[in-house]
Amino acid sequence: MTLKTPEQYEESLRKLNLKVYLQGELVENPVDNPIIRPSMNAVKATYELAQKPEYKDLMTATSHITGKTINRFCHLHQSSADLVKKVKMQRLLGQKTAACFQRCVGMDAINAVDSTTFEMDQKLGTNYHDRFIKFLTTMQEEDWTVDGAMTDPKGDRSLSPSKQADADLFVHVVEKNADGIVVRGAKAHQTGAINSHWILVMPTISMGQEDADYAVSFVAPADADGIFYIYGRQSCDTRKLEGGDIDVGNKQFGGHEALMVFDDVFIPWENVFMCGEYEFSGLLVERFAGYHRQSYGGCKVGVGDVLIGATALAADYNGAAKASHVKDKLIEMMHLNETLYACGIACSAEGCKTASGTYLIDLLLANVCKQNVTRFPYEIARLAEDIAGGLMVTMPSEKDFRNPEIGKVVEKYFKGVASVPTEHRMRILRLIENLTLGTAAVGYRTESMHGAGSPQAQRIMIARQGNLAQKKELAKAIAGIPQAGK
Amino acid sequence: MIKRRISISFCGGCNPRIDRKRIAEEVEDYLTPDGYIVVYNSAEVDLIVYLSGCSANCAHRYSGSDTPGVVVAGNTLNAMAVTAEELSFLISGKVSDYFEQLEKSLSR
Repeated sequence: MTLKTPEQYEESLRKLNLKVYLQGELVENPVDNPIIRPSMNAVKATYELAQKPEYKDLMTATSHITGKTINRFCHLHQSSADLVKKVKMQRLLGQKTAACFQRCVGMDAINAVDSTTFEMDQKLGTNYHDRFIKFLTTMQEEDWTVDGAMTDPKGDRSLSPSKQADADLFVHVVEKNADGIVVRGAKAHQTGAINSHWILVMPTISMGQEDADYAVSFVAPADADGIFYIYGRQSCDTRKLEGGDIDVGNKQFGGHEALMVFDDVFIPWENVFMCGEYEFSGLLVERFAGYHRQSYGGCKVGVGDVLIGATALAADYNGAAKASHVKDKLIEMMHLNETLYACGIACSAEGCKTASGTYLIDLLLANVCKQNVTRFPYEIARLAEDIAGGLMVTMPSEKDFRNPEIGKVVEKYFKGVASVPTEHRMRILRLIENLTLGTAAVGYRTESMHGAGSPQAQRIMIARQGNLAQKKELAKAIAGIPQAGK
Repeated sequence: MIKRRISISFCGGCNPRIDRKRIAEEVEDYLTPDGYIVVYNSAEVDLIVYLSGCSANCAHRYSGSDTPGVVVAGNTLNAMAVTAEELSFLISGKVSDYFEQLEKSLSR
């Protein structure tokens, strides 16, 4: 099996023995829990689209290991064309789900771990890359969803991992023996963790010698002994418990984040890809962050497509579509959205081959891409709210609309253009609410700000890679000032 | 000894992170005393040093050549990170290694 059907994916999750806490209680059946279920549906869509001939070119790839057709989320990019297809696939999935489909983080993690372990082995004589490829081969064969786990809770940001008051604020090795290692700590904000088969853990920052115990990378089954999850709260999440399908805005799809705790988890050596090689932690972080910043040039754009479409429909239903300022605002939204896409494509097209053969994006352009993502979705959301109008947040509930008595009043007074049913207007306004300040705003707004690194992280990378010295020399040459060394 | 003809083939130089001209001159200085013929931007050679100023690697990416090569893209040599200071020395080493291996295989 190299391509699971969506049904097989769901069934495989049911077989996991995940320990998940949600609102203070242990969840017996995460797959069917109404708060979690929409996020599982979004991951399931990555399996569903891979089955369809019309999406095969983007959703699947040929494994460079086995030559078999695999889901692109399990693929190591073998060319800059692969990098471009990744972004296009993410846009497609964003359009189909209007949510975070969660599988990108694992794809970005395998690509970063591949080239880093290869170069580590070349320099240090270790054998991590062979172990990693063995895992990857099975991952491709089983079509696993893998959670790429990087972000530690981090405690006092002014202190390095080993200087924290609580040693567990970064994942670290607490024991080594002939069979493997034992790890303790936690990873925060783990997108899609509860919908994953395996977890690929990476260090979260560059480290020094004193932090060697924290320079650790490994894989573990998502339901390994000692791992448990605390599900992240989302704005408006309990609307999913009400049973209706208008007020939730997007009934079928969603995303999730969770705190993932490692309570003395044993990892056999065959699943360890870094253990103490602190000098390579920065490279792994830089590469993973670069790939993930590229990702946002695809997935957020796809969600943006849905938001722009919803906004245009709201204008139609309000009878405002012909107003010149409304047309202009829709143009601005499209301009901003396509600018993000252009950055995602550009950093992919300029990608380069690493020593392992896997392609890496242009890191400067990927960071520019993500920096724009920290801004443009906010402006797109602002324009959407502008056009949608205040009704988006003052509208009565679906229960009022369904009520035999007051439903007629809602129907009468919330009608816009006569030919459009009030229910359609309510549905589109709830979708805009969902994306701009409901459960999907977690992904579209705050994740755009902080996911794959907060804005300052990209500015540091832009400063490092922006080639300012060369720009000064160019200016000197034009201005007639003698240049360095000439 | 076989003829040792190499080309140093440049990218377009739109946004270089390394001083390509200096590196090319240093490589030529290292190699010509040992009998190498060094030309620029030619495919009619035995080995090409693809010298790109940044990781986009345009010299190699758009070459369309099957000739064996040593690939420099910014501060990387055959995709491994190196410092700008050691780059020309290491390129010259790779070129020498290539021809030594070639001569060994021909003499068998």
